[in-house]
Amino acid sequence: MSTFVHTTVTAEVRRLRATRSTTVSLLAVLAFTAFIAVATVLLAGHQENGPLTAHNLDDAIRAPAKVLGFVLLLVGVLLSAGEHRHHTVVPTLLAEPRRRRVVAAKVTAMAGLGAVAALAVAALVAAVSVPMLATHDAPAQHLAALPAGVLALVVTSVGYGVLGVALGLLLRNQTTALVTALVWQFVVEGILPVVLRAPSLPTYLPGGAVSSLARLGHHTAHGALPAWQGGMLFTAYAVGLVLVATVVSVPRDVT
Amino acid sequence: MTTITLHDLTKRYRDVTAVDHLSLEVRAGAVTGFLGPNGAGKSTTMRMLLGLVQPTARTATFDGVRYAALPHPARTVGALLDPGVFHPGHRGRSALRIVAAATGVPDRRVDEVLDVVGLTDAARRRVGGYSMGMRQRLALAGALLGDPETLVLDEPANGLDPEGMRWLRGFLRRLAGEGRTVLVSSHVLAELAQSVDDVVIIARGRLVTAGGMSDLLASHHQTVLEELFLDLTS
Repeated sequence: MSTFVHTTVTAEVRRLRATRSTTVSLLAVLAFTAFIAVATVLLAGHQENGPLTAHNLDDAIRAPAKVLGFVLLLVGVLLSAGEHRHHTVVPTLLAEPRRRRVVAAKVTAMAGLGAVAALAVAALVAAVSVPMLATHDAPAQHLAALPAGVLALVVTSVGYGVLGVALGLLLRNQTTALVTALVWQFVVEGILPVVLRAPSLPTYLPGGAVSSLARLGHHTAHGALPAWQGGMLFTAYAVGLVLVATVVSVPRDVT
Repeated sequence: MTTITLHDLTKRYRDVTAVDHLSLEVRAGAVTGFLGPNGAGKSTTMRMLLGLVQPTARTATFDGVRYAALPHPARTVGALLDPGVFHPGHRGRSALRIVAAATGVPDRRVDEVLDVVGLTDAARRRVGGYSMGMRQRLALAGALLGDPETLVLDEPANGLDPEGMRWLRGFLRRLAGEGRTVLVSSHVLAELAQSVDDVVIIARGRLVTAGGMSDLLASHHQTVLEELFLDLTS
């Protein structure tokens, strides 16, 4: 186990750190998150925005769940499908020909990055929001709810990153994997329930599960799941797709 | 001292047989040239040897052990299959550090192999800005990271300038002199003829001939490897 972490996982962590698009996209999410946190406080009470409340900090921490998740899904796709695009899969599999270990290393590295990114976003939101809420007479009093919000953000980020790795392994083509993710998000989860006249369907799809977990949007209109069930369902999707991707990708020839 | 053994190795892609019951042995302490026309099955054979392509039948081994079953595969066998195996956005040193971690060798080895292939000065540049010859040297550095007993090199002279080719020739000779096993494929037959001890020629996935180069030339009444190759494969 320690050898696996010391070698294969370390290699994947180094791959993530050496790839500029990973760093740039995560820094962009951090900047976007800070901007939204500031804008939420400054625009509260104006036009159709509600007034500030003690729950604003908790909401602000959960708010970036899908944006951060989508970026991590993209990074996960780059980590797995990108190996085929740039042929780096050859030295990867020469160094570790036991392919299940390579899959496990990618999932582990991506889960780690997801957790770190989520904690960084939560810390940034807190650092920006707490002083601003205090100066706007809405100090964050309900701190007891914060761990649940942070946990939701971590689970969402880890899950999306792992889904990205699995999608990339399954499809091998970076562009196809990214287009598939977009089609899933906007067509399967957005339009299909309308076409099928099944408004409750999205609740049980990955995006709906994340909405339930992070208490985002207005899913309650068609019955959101309890947060813990949303988390379990989303985790099941991520684990399921990793298992399918492993079974499909491991026996493939690398030509 | 590692011997590479291919026993009845076969690979079929639907109706196409890329490698057809190929059997041969590559001995330690020698440079063995692996020759064949385009589409002869050289690259497929090397990829089966290294576990990247699954054989349809039989297997290829290093001292009787499949590549994937070796305790430390990349520290036992170093391979160069394609110069374009590094992310163009990564710096040369970073790219090798990723492979070094996966191989389980210390980072100081990265600087050693960069020095061996003459890329120390370019180590901080991004791979996307490397010339073809520099990429080839970087891929060779990757193959050497684990200080392996065996080297499997597919067209290592591609993109090298005359000085690079001369360096490669001396380098391969030195490795064989240390008792290592070196299997190298190339289309540059005149160049290869100056490096190899043994020759394996395949065509249409089948073994045409194998043996010591001087013995093969003598038995076929040829004096030049290129003539022998054309005589046997045309």
